[in-house]
Amino acid sequence: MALESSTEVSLVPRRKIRKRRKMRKENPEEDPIQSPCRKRRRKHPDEPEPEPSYEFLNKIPVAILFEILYRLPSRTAHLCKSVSKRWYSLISNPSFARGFIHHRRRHSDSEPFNLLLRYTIRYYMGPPKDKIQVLPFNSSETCSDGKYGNNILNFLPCFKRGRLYKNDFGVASFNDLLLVHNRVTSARKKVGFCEYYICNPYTKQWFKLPRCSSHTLRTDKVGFICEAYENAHYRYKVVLIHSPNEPNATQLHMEVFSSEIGKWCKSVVSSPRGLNPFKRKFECAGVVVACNGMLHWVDTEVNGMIKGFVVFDPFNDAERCNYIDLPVNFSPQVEFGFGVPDNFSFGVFRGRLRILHNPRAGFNHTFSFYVWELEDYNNAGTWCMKHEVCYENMVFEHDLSRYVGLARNFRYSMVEFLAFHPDNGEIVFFKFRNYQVMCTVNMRTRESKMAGKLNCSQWGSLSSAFLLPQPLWPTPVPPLPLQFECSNNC
Amino acid sequence: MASSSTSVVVSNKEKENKNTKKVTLKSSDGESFEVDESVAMESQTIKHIIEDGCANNEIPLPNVTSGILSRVIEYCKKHKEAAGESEPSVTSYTSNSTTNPLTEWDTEFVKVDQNTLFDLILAANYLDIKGLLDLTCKTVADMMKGKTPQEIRETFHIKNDYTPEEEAEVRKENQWAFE
Repeated sequence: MALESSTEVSLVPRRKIRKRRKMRKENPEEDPIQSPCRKRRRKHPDEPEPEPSYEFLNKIPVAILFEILYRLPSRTAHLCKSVSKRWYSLISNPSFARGFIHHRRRHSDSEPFNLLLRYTIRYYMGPPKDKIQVLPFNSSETCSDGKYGNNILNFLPCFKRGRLYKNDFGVASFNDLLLVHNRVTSARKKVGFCEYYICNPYTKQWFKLPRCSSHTLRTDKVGFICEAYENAHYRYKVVLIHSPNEPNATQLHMEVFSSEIGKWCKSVVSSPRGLNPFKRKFECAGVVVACNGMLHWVDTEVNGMIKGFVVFDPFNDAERCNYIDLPVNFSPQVEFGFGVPDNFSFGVFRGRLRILHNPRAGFNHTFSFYVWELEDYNNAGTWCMKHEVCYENMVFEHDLSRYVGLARNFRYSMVEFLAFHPDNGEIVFFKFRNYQVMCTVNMRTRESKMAGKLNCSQWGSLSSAFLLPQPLWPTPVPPLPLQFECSNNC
Repeated sequence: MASSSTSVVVSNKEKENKNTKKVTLKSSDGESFEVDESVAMESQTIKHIIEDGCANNEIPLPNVTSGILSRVIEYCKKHKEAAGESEPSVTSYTSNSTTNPLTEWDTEFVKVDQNTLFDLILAANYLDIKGLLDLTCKTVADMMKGKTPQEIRETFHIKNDYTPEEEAEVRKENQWAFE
């Protein structure tokens, strides 16, 4: 069965290639494709033998060829696969990628990353639209003008359909891979189905999963997790978690797509605590993050307030999930008169789960936020408060104060948390609610600086932010690359 | 350099000339080059030979011709001078001219024909001179940047063993690299 992917021929069996070569060997005249080529490549009888130092690159030890190729940008290194079959198999070999990454790491400090922001734009008329924006950070705290632009996922077929179809998509990420799950309904609401794509926005490779039998509701959560194992092969799982129908459910119904099995399987997972139907009062409540080899998502009270985290390890412990309570000293999130709940977000830093709590109680309250990090998964979780920042102690750099009232946005908590900086544990990215500007806050020095301009409509509200590392060697999207027969010793 | 505490076997003659110890390197075509030991020790291979006490008369280097060997020695001398007298220089080649004062000199050094460049790579590998290997490999890599696969094949005289269909498949698989 042929699955759709960006390289549709990649599942064309190698038999075809071998067959052509066999044909060429046996009946060179009959193979119409080959004969013109053969004619072109036939050596003219007067042409002198090439000197031995030519084809140097094919004769030197592989280790030296690698030393040369390691010094290329990764894009050029991928391009070199087209030079010859020998180069293709050498560069596609996982040991090359490992050496490439190792060589780069020795020569540079931090790796660039991209911030992927998802907005929901509500127009006066018509349905809300979702937009994705990617901001590249080249190993600094300010973003450069990205060449990605705003239509980063346009290479996926689901976004190329006509306006008669409505897309409602969600995103999960793992390293530089994205899982896009898209619920499609036609304008007449006749057809409804959910598609799942795994893609790498950097290389624009994508792969579509086979269709899932059960319906995906808007409230369901989708997680995506990969596990690398020997020789840079990796296996992955896409987990569709159905919302419990009643409060205090001790079982979760899931559908899991496993790369090793190749199809969706239903499973029932038991929970040590009663779980409530999924609510999306907080924007972060819809997100499932992968961290430490496990999937994490929030559990809410019936009214939508955050209660704790559910942790699920689909590779090692697929029949039960764990529960993590919120930190002991967490101040309660009470909704005050204006009905504005505390700001709560979570993210990952260096394989650790972190939460950011921005209490917004009271009219006279000034801005402050706390960052907690999960240190131990046992005994319903042990947290450690890593940082505490108050508005009074903050120092705003000149650029921020220039925008009149920007700094004041902090005071009235008109800021939204975006992400934790992947390399520097002290830096957090914020976005201003009413200004298209991003800033960083260094939690140790309390400095706040401009980080970049956003290019989104003012009517957009941020629904999720993802940090995508820009790895030194892009992760290939399944299925794995082509295989070529190669005559030289590769 | 202390004469008594080392485990290296040194002859009496060498003890007298402690400060300007010399070694002789012999190329594959029989030519001999006398150089300061400290300069020769830029090569880890030669360094190990000397430390193992096997460098009595001359060190034969059957894989390196005289033309290449003289250039390699030139490189080592220049970099040793720049690094100072104390220990073998550990400066690896960087294109950042603020950290590497020899950037300009290095750039001129590698302006040679392809054959010589490749011989230098092989020599740097055999003699284990990190800086020279960095420099020469980077030069070859720079020759590849910005070129299409066909141009790379032409520059380095590599045979294309793909059929047009296979090449199209590979290109499609790595489409992003071509944009």
